[in-house]
Amino acid sequence: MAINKDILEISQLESLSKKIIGFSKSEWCEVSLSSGHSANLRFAANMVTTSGSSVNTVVHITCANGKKSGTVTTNDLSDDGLSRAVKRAEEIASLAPDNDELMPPLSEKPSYKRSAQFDDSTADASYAAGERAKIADKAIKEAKARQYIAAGFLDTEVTRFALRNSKGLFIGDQKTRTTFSTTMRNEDGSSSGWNKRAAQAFARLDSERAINRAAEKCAAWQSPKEMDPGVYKTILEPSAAADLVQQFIWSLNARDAEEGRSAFSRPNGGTALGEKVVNDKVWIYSNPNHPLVSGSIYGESGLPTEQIDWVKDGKIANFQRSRYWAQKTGAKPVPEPANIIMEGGTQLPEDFMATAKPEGLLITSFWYIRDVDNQTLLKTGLTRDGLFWVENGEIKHGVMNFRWNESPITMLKNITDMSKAVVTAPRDGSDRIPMLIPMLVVSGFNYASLSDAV
Amino acid sequence: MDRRIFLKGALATGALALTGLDSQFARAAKAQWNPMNALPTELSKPSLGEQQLADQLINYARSLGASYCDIRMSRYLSQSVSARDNTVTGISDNESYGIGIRVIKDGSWGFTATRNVNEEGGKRAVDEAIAMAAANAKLRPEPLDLVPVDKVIAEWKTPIKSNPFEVSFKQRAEFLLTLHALALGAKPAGKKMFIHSSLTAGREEKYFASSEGSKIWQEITRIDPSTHITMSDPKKGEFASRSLFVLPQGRGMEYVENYPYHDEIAVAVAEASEKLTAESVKSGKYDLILHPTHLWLTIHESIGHPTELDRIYGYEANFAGTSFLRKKDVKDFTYGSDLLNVVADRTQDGGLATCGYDDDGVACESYDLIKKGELVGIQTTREQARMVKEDKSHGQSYAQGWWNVPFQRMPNVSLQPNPKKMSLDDLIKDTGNGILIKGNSSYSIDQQRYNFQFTGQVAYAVKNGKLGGMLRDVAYQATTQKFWKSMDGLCDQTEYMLGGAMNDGKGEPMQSNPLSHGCPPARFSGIQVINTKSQSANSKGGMLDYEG
Repeated sequence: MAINKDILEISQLESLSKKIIGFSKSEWCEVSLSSGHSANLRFAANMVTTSGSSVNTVVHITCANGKKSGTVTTNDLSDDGLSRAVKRAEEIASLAPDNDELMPPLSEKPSYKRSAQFDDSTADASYAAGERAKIADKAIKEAKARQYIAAGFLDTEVTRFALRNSKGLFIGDQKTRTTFSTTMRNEDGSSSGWNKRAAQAFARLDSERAINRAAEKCAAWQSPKEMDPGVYKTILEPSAAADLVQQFIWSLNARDAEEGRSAFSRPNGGTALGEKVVNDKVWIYSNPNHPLVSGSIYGESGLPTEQIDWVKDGKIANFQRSRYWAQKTGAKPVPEPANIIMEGGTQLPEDFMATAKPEGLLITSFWYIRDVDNQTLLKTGLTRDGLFWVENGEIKHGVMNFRWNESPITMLKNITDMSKAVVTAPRDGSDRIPMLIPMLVVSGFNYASLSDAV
Repeated sequence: MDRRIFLKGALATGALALTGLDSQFARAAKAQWNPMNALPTELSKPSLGEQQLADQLINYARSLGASYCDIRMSRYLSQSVSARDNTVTGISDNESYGIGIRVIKDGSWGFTATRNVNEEGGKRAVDEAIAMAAANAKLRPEPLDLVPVDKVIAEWKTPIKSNPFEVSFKQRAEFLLTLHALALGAKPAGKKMFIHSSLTAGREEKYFASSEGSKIWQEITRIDPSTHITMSDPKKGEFASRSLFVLPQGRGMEYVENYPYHDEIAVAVAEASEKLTAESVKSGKYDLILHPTHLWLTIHESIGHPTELDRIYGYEANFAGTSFLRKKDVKDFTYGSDLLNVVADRTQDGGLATCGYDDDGVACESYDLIKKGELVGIQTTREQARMVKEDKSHGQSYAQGWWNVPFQRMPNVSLQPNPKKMSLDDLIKDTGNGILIKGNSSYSIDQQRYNFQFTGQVAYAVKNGKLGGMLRDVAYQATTQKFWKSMDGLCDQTEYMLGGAMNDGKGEPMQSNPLSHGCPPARFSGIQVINTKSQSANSKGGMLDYEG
């Protein structure tokens, strides 16, 4: 076992944060710390291109007097550096105008459920470095055997993080996370396939499957047919569905909705809370202690994360709500999701395809998703690395990529069937947040124009 | 190298310019920031001790068999003030210091970065980088072959007039509150208005030393102001937004002080309100007049990215994507109309990518990418120049932070103005059925940079040579080569503006790259415009409407 000695232990973060608070003379002080090592390997054109690792410890210090606060971030952990950072935060606070939205630190000590986000062997730097090269080697060998060109990225991160405030709260947590994605293209660049995996433990990363999937997609997409833009029945693989579910979840914000500037605002100051906005099959929630996708045990200012429904039976069940907005509106604060879990059906995606026999366009992944109209939550983006026409649950042929314009609300309304939810990561969105998402079948998805991109 | 060479220019941003308690503190903090300093230094340039450490680590890497090694010993500063309506919601000061160590061993790269800037931490990092390179070498058939570079001992600083780090936080906060008061004062009755602003100043203090003997000190300053207005009609539950056209630049506080906020803020408030009731655009083909506040990002997406050589060679196939340009197209491809002249330039005044030397230690330069519509140049680093049979790098190597490995990043890429006299008014007068688009909103383009769909902050009808009323729900779709071939009108130098962004994303793990794009207004004929309100499965004919 060789965890990089430059990563601090939670006990070291505990004493470091105590020292920082000790330097403060202000009314209150809140310190958040993170210490981590990240290492990666990139390959492309059937060879390793760049790889790298970095180790860093960062502290964020907020000092406040009354309604005035200042925040300083530094990675200088010397006594001198830390006391200077605290002084700087206090000095900024003395110059700051009053901030009515400033919230004091939590004065109670909440109880936290311990999640299991940490895997010792993943954090073992020497073990992981050797494994990384082996996986890249496997991908390149597979590509060469098929006369393809492989590219990919393998990333492992180990992070310990903590929060302390001057009212006595201290909470520390640690996590490991690893992601692997690979793209296989044929030699003339006329076909391309992709797959991505995410796992908390390196050993649970099924890289072989990812490599084979990407290669199979590249093989199946050759000589794609051009289809007219329009509305088609669509099957979204879990990674593609994850991208739009993530976009949907990020938009569930209480303040935006109540202030009248969100897709979930309603006339005369109302909101969509409790309203049925999507298909009644849809249940999306967070549970930091889920065994497959455990997430952070605390959020804003150390608020404990709990199991919480975002959408239940198709109705909006909760909005994310900052501590300030909660206080102002007399509601409960709701931290950002610790993970995103969407309940699905009973069969794993492959079995689901074989038995449910869906028809439509099968989307492997999305690319370049951007907001188009926040009133309707309309997004635009492209399909990438594997768009297929499917009949009776079987791929008939590849289809040239499309630009699409669609709202995740519409996608969730139009669901007709789902596989069992699986651990996945979106391609375009954030892969830092653990996600468990099913394959989705939707009755209509809007494709706006053709893309020649491969 | 003796640190005395660094003292030149010490007084240019000297203590006399200090304006408040906080900046005096900043100065004091700066003087002491490195515990290795034997004496406090006036500027945070590398002390003799740090330079010796860099040399020591390079020698250590060489002793372990590295054929090349470079060290970036850097400190990143960022200060930010943000405001919402009539409240300053945050003031922050961020500092990060560390070293990034890059080696070539057995013909392959290794890179490690650490915050432990000392002999022990540095050597540990070198060991890890060497081990990584050795492991990777087995997966690299051809050894790396960097083109030569001159040995350089030099320093470079962004030529700023007013150092934003020396303007007190109080002044910066008051500036935003004054701006918001102006906007809130212009709010029309019966509407609700929300306004957000931030003002961020960033500085890279970067010491580069290489095994080839270069020692380069750079201080790169950037300023990033932004303001967003949202207007809602509470009765209808509808809202619309308008961002100010102010964009980040590689300048000091003078950029913010000279920006015409007073002129634009009232217009922006009125436009945000008008957007709620403006005529919804009819889909179809239009002649688009794209204002520089919008066009810079179109240039970025459809010219900047496709001409990155690493994309063309498949290095970004797994993430950012490749390019519609193939290897054989490099320097032999018709990109657009005769009016299209594009320059790559890391020396451009005010440019966010402007610096003296890139992260390979190559002196920055200005050169042609496209001349009269023909592709004549490409973006390269020392590693890539040989791919296109060149023996000199164009200097496009850049890393976001000390913790990131440098790789090929886009420089400032700008559309050259029309040498013939042509104002925006002239261009509008010459247009029959068009739309004028200003500002950036939604930008999406495919992974080979063919198909794009872009939207602006505001759009106005142009009918028979005259500017008409506001249009909403406007997006245009095009493919890159057709789009640039359709450019049939271009304004002159008097209409030229510099746009830019701090956060151009590329690479895995993704790194942000700051860069600028200058251009005058230009016209594109017969471009497909769609109405964004009719773009969802359930708004198309109702056949798929949700039931129960």
